[in-house]
Amino acid sequence: MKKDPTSGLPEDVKVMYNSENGWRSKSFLETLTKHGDELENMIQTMNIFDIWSDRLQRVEVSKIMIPEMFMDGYISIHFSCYGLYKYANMCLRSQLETNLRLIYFATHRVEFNWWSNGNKWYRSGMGKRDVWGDGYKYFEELESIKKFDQKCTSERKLFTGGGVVGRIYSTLSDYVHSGKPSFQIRSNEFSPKYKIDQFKKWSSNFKAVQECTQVLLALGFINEFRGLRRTEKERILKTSIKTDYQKILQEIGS
Amino acid sequence: MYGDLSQFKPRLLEKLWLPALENWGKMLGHSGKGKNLKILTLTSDRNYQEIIEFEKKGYTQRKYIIAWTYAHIKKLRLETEISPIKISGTARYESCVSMPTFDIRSEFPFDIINLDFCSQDPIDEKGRIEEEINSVEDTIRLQDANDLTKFVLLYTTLINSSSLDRLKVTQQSDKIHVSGWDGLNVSQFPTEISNPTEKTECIRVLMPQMGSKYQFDSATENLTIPTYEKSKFLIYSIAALYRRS
Repeated sequence: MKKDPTSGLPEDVKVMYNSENGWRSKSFLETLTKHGDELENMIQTMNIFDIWSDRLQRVEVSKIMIPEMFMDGYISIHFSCYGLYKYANMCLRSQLETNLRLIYFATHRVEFNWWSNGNKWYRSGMGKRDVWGDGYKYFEELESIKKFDQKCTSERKLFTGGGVVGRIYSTLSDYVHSGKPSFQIRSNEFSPKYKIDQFKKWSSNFKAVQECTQVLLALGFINEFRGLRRTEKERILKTSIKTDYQKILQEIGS
Repeated sequence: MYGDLSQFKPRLLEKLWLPALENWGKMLGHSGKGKNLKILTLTSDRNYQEIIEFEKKGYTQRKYIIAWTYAHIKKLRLETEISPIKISGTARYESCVSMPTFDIRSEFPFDIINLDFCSQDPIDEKGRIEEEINSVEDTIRLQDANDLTKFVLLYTTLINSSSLDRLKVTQQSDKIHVSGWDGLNVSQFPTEISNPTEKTECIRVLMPQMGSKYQFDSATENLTIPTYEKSKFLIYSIAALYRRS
């Protein structure tokens, strides 16, 4: 007979284990059944990080930050499957932030070491700024991003004039700062459940973040992007990037 | 592209890998019990049977094995399933082995190295096999740098319609100069080798030479597995014992 995994556990912990196993597997199964194909594509998108991890071996910072970005995205899928939409969205902001930091730190090793080792002067000097400074000015100045934004339509520019990156970051920040519409609970619902509207909202955020992430990696590491094998480049372009961005990246990255 | 190549692992194990270790195990100091051999294996999350077999045959225990995988998701699964083995990677082995930042450089040397590139979902593009072969030499060099006198290296690859550019292999090898070494010599083969039998033969000729460059003598056994009847690829595996007195 199979041993009861909860035997010996304190009472409330036992109740928590049993009850959470219940709602988790119910939501998980329902999400997988209804969105299997969509989730399959999302996992394929996450697998693109294998290419970057392979091709950015010379960029020491990437060895820490790319697996973290992968994990943020992967756990975001995981949370959404359990109906934990607020936390699924929080993971996406973390992924986007790590992506921007990777691009900055790749050419700022001293600052990276300060940041990783918790240098007090550096941290206090940052105040409310992020590691790269205020707003997104740093990225707007990067040549490849500048070129890219010049070729985009106004509503699709990455950074210029309150671009796509800032907008998605701000949407996701609502989940981090618990704006009421971004609460996990609903007025009449407490336990996490599969909800189609919440899933769709998360899924749209997920796709926007993955598109930004892949485009930013390609632009932030433009020489590495140019040096990719044909099949790798195709996978990056076609798995998560819309056709307008695909065309511009192909132009800049050829 | 080529489906799940790990399905061929049972045959590789049965026909080549395990018999080779059976033959050469004693030379590595394996006596059936006692010494644990240190093993590096490129493996797959879908089938890590070699790890189970190496352990079952008493060559080692899990804590002496390092598994390499190129994908994040595979690493996640392997870490969950075959703990406490150390899982390294999330990049292709051949991309990293020659770099100073290579994750497991300090783990060298190993008694058994299983470079099963079929476990890395091979890319269907020209240049793949040349990079693999050069990474075999890089691996031998890392073994040499750690003063090991004998080890077994298993190299497994997918042979498809892409040709093998022998000059690319020899030129890359020549970048690492070893005094008294004249270079790899496979000039008997066409520059672009497209015939599958010639490709496997070229690898068979290269394996001992790559050892000789670092003063290792060698003995080899090899195996070719034809895949599906109409498929345009096959699996080739070669086992080599490298030793020096």
